[in-house]
Amino acid sequence: MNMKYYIIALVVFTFTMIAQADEKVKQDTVGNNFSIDIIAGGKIGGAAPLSLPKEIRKINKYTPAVPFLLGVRANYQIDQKWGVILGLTFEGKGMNADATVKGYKTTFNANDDPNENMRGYYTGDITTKVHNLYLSIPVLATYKLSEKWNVQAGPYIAFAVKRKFFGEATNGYMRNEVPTGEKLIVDEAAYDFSKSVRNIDVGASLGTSYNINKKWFALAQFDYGFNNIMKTGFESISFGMHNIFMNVGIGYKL
Amino acid sequence: MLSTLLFASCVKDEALNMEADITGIHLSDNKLLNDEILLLEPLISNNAIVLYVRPGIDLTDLKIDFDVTPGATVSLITDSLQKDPEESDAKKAILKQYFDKGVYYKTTSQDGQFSKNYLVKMRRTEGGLVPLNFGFEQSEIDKDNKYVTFYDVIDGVPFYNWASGNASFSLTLMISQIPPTPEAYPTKTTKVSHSGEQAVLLETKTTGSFGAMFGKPIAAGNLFIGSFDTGPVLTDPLSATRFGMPFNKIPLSLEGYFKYTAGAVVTDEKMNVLNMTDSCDIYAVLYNRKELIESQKAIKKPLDYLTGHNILKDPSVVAIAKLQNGAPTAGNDFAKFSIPFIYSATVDDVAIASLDYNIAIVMSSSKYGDRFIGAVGSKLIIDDLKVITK
Repeated sequence: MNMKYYIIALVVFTFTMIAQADEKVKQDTVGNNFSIDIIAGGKIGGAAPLSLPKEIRKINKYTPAVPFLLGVRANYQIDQKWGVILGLTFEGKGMNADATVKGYKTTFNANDDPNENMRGYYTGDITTKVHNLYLSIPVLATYKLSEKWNVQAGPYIAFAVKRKFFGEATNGYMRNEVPTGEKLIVDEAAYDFSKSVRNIDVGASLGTSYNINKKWFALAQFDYGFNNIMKTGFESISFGMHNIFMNVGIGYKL
Repeated sequence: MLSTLLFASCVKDEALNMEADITGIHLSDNKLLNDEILLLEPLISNNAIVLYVRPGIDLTDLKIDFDVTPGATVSLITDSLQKDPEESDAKKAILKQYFDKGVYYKTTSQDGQFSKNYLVKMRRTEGGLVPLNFGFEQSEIDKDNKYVTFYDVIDGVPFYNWASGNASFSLTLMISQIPPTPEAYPTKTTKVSHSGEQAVLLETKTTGSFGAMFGKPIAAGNLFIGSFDTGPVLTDPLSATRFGMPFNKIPLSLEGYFKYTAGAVVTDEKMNVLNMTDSCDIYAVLYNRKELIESQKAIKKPLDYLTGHNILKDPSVVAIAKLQNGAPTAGNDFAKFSIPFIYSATVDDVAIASLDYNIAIVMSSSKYGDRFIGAVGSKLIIDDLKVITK
């Protein structure tokens, strides 16, 4: 619930900033030092372990999910070369992955009832669907390489506004509790770890932009989440997963 | 596409196996092979193996080999061997123990991190594996999971002919975090007996929200001659019940005493309420096991048992005795039943004498429990079951 107010406050804050900037631009008091951009784009990436764990034997299929970003960015140019960006981005960070796993420690749960689940080691095919939506606030330092090219880098903090992490196991078997436990053939066992997705994702961005003309620019940016996207204490997947995304988009200078 | 390739290039070398299963067992001596030594396919579960040896086979030169999970090892636990004062020959002493309490083997996984024990037993009888009278006085409680298992004593040796779904219900209890007690299971004993100390009590139970998620919201109490395989309970529960054991007489009727009370509300696999009264099921089937195996010639590993899929309709079935009316019994007394075997084929006298036929006796507290239709709380008590033979 707190989240909601926080987000509303952020949105109000950003719009106020935009409105003020707009006025300032009109008044031409700040001159060229201050500007507002809007950006939109797509992305590819996923919630991925830093390196593939041994349990994952094969990635059968991967498609991006909710691969969009929409944002506003306030730019402040400090001097000829350096500047700073404060942004607000609404974006999806997701994927649909289908992998073959062996001895993958997991939990199958009953309709999101955390008290009724089956723990063990799964071997077979498993789909992972991550459809998380975030409101991200990047703070980026910018450096002008040339009239056309800019590079940006800096941290971001992202707040999950919708958390979805689910999937199913097919064509495999579960060993109850331990790898020597009772063997159960699994055809279609669903799991849903949505509630275990962290509300906050902190990371860093590194990007570049290219000015197409006075108003339009192209943008490429790599985002890397420092923290495991799952909450501390979540043990149903034995390895940590990070939000790792490549974003491509266009921007418009207001 | 690109990223798939990217990921594929990152797939690590496979880890060493963590599992440590015995997947097959091969008996041999100087002359004979598995099929010639064994009457039935070895019964291999997660922690036990039962070998039914053909009558009259000399096992002096017996050798046992195991198939295991790739990389796993298996060894005899010598500590489990008992000193036999009457038997000076160690080999003979071990053989004797196979036919009594059993011999333990330990398996260890390829990665060395996981191990488990298997209790290997052998059973042999000239007279078939299934006796003619069942008072259900012999039962034991599983050491870890606390469920009841019924057994018969033939020639002074326990034969674990009776199976139930209790083994898989232990998962339900584990998942629902209910402490395991014999009473918590669908198949158990009761002091309410027709004669003797105890009788069988079968009770239809709920499987909690986890079971419901798999479309299996109830578990009818069941007890049957045969074995139970927990592997397919979530995917194909009808094949989990492996019905029948070798029998060498021509059955005429199935008799016994029962008491049945139906639970209040019958539900289906989706927990929809059905407007009907629950009923119980009691039946026995005689089938030609040899014919059943021969009918599967095209299959690499033919089954030597019938399952919930085909127990009443397989071409190998020669006779069925089925309780017509499984409605709740009147009053508080046991009701007697006597059901004739109806033959649909002739029995080969010589073949049945040489144990080519199997008999299955099946009891359930909810007649349609195999389809997950039944009333939680339905209770069937059975005692003094008898197979009348020619």
